[in-house]
Amino acid sequence: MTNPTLPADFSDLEPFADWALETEAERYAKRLASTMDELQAFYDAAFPRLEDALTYCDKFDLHALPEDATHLLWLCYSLVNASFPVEVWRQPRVPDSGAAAMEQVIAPAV
Amino acid sequence: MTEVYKYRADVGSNWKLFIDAFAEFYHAPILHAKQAVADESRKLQGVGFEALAYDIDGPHGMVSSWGGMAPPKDPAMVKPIERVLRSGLFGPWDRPIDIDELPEGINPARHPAWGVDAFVLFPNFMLLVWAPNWYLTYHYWPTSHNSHTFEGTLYFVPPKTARERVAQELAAVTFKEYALQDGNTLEATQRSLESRAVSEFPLNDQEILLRHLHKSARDRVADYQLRRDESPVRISAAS
Repeated sequence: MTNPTLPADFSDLEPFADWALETEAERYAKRLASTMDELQAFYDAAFPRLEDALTYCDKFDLHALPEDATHLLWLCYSLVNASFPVEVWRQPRVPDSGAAAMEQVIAPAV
Repeated sequence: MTEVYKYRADVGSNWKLFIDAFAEFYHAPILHAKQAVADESRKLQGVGFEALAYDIDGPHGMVSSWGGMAPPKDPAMVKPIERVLRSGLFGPWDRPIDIDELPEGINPARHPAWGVDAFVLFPNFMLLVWAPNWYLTYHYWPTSHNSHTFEGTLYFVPPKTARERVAQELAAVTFKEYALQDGNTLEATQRSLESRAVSEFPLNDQEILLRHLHKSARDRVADYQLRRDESPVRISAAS
């Protein structure tokens, strides 16, 4: 499978395009499967572009986003997920969560 | 509020233990200390916690809490991602609806720093109404005496922009991170109860809803046992 392509303005994030994942389960699984170095590298690249990414996506109707903007939005969702290990936990898993697991069963279509 | 995020977890504890964990708020500054930046976290722990109002009605109850983090007084109090997305545990900071006057039952103390009201609807349903125009429900479905399925559902006003959508994503992801911490304490509590080493739990003055939940549940069990013992013995045909 080829990586999803991001808008040309965000070609600097193309090495992290594999974070453009549609579901929370995929995003969370990738977070847990990543090392802290990998999460930090993704965060360091994507966080400074978050404001630009939101501004870019907001040029379109949320429910009629072009495919590349959709990938960018998914990447923003992944950044939200990866921000917890990087900004707070210092580990991929939620600390003090033991064997607890929780699955998302309903999510917005976009 | 039709924008829905729903989470489900199988939990190895009696259903009432999860309500015990959620039907007060004083645990938050301790268990979830790392959710705030370090200085702020220390300050919150020093201040402690008091709710704004409590009420009970039949077997049901509610507790009203402050929650001044949406938006925070000082952006430096919260994490970098929250500053950019203007959102966090208390929900997106920019309210989608202007409500002039809240209904009578919400923020009953009419406190200016009000943040969230939690209603326990006996036996197994909770509703949390948050100041920035969104709400949460919890369902606890018993699957045995020491297990249950937990469902937490967040409801928002549908986002009009990608920016609003990502702000809601942050609130939903934050909810899950917290819930994983909350859930993990329960199986240990269940095991300690089953050991019978501890036969009594001291409850503090803030745990009004917990006391009420267990009293309501015990009353119903006692009522059932009384009726069962009084009813004539039925001898069923051998199968």
